[in-house]
Amino acid sequence: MNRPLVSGKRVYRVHWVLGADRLLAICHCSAEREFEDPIELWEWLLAHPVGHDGTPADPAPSPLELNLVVQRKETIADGVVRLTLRHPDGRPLPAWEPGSHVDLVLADDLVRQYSLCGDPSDSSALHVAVLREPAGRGGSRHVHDTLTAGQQVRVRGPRNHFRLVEAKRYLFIAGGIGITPILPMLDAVSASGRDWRLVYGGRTRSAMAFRSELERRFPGNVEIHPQDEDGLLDLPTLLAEPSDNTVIYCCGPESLLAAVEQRCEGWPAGVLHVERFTPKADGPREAFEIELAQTGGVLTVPADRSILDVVEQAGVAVLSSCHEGTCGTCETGVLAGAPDHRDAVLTEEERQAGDAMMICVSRSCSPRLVLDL
Amino acid sequence: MTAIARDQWYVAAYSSEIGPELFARTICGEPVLFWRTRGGQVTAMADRCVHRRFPLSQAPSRLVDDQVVCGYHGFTYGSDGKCVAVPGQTRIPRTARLLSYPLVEQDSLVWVFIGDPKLADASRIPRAAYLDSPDYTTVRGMEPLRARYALLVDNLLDLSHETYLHGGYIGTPEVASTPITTEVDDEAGIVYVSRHMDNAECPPFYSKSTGLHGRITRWQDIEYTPPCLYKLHSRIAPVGSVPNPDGSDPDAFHVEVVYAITPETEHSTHDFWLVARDFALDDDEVSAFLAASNRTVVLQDVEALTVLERFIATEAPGAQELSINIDTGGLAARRMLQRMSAVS
Repeated sequence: MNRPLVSGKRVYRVHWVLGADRLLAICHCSAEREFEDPIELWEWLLAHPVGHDGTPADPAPSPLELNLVVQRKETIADGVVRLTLRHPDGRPLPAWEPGSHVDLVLADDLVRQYSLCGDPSDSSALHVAVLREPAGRGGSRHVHDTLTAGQQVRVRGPRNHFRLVEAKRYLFIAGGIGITPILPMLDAVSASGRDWRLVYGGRTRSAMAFRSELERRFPGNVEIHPQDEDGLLDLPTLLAEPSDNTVIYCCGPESLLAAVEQRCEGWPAGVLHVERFTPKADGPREAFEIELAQTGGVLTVPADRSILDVVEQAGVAVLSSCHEGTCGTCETGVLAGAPDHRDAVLTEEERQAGDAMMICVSRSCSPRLVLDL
Repeated sequence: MTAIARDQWYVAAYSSEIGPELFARTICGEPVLFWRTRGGQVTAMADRCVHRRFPLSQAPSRLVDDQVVCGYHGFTYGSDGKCVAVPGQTRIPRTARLLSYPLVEQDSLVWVFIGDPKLADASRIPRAAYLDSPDYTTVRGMEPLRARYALLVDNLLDLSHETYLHGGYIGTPEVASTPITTEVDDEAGIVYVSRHMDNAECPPFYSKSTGLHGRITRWQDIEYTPPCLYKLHSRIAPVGSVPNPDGSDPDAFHVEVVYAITPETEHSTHDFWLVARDFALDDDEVSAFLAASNRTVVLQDVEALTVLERFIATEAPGAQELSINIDTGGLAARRMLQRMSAVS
């Protein structure tokens, strides 16, 4: 047997004497085992401490990145597929709480957040449900059209920005695919015996994911309102009376969130919890004003339009190219106000300096920006 | 998804390759432009004008007073990658700058960091000081390899292939029939594969260079620091000779064979090879012999791996690939590379 080469604290050692056909694996924890197959050997050795010295399997790791396998992909409503993700070696997956989401890294530049909609106590699989959004930016299209069972997908997280807080009473308002983060919350609040109610709206009955499961399991707590039958959710009635004991969880399209936020303005602070499905990098979009220092005049940039759009329409010529914050062409000087940088070209220092911005995508943190235009 | 590990240091060139002219090489799929400034520093930046994407290494782009002038529209960049002039206007757009790469020149090698520059820690670059030491003489070369770099890693981690692919050069029957110890240092990120032949035939590669004939002691200690640097410490000595307890080893000849395995693209690799020796330092004949022999060996690998790449590129997924005991080190290296490319 050769002398050991190195003496670090985490050295795995494998001896092979030719003719013996056996490999002797020695872990840094001094566990030893003989193998005939080097692949099995490394699986055992690198799984330390699992299976070394009878130690139980590692507890689920903290938020991190994993390559998981799509075990199942099934259509659960019109335009909605559910993915079942498992570890390729069957290892336990990270623990999570209701409201959590994961990032699916669908391609190098295609990372999307999806809420976990399975059972938090099941560490063998993660579930996400994805609505096909034809007008989206490609994430849901990729999941629907490209991803298939058996494929690997990189998963980051889980993370939770939509935590379930303690309360006496809960009102859940879900619009469409916004049901996903709320689903695990329902199990948690029913298990704890709290008073709760779910108002769930969608385009049509058949487009509402998990509808029949909800009706079957929680007949007294769930109201289903397909838009083609009942019209929009009756928020004025639903949110008419502020209540100190009730917290509201709302997830769904921007129009629903905005309407709920508006209705809850008179409610106590901290009562309303919302989860937005817009990508984090994009952030919320609000209207603000811009003052054009050279041209003169003040323009309003509405929530659904870019500064570039607005100034071009006002007849101010600005050179632009990519319209997605990646080329740097529309760089514009900022004389006052705080830009909300959403481009991909400025450095952190340049962002903090705040004296220039890419007006095709960036917005404003202050009510007014003064631009060198 | 890519098999190339990002956020890692890679050898981009030999120091001697980069002078005061534009020099381009694609590293991990990224075209990189280099030159040595008048101050002697090597620069590394994206080889692509931000304006209309013309390669800055491509004539008529040219270097003028440590600034590169794009041959298409005249965008001009300094050695820090910052644009200093654009045509027809005085305002230089703030984002007119070339991505510049962290770079370290040491041990006669030019290392660049591919990935997030904030993660570039120069102390993680593995050392091979003998490549630049007066106590050693080094011969070197670089062969372009039309195969994914993982195939070269497999190749170099299992030297039993010397007996078959390189018979008559460095292979002898004992190489494939001697006990091997494989060690993985998880903290340092190094794979060691050690094979000590105490009574072996001396292959021509070593008999002609050392003058030893007949039976020898031949030790091969591989030290691979994924993803890029592979070092084979080769010790050739008369049978029965072992190093002294203080580490000195006067009876032995030491040959340090180094490979820098740098992905060019997903399916091609820069195969840098170096052979450093601590004997016959001024003997040009030995230098010429070792250079020619090692190049022959490298070309035998290149030929085999090129065929292999073509073959597996067209193979259906799931085809069998069996591993046996000799692959223990190679499998360990694969695991480390997989882990690196999974997190990057």
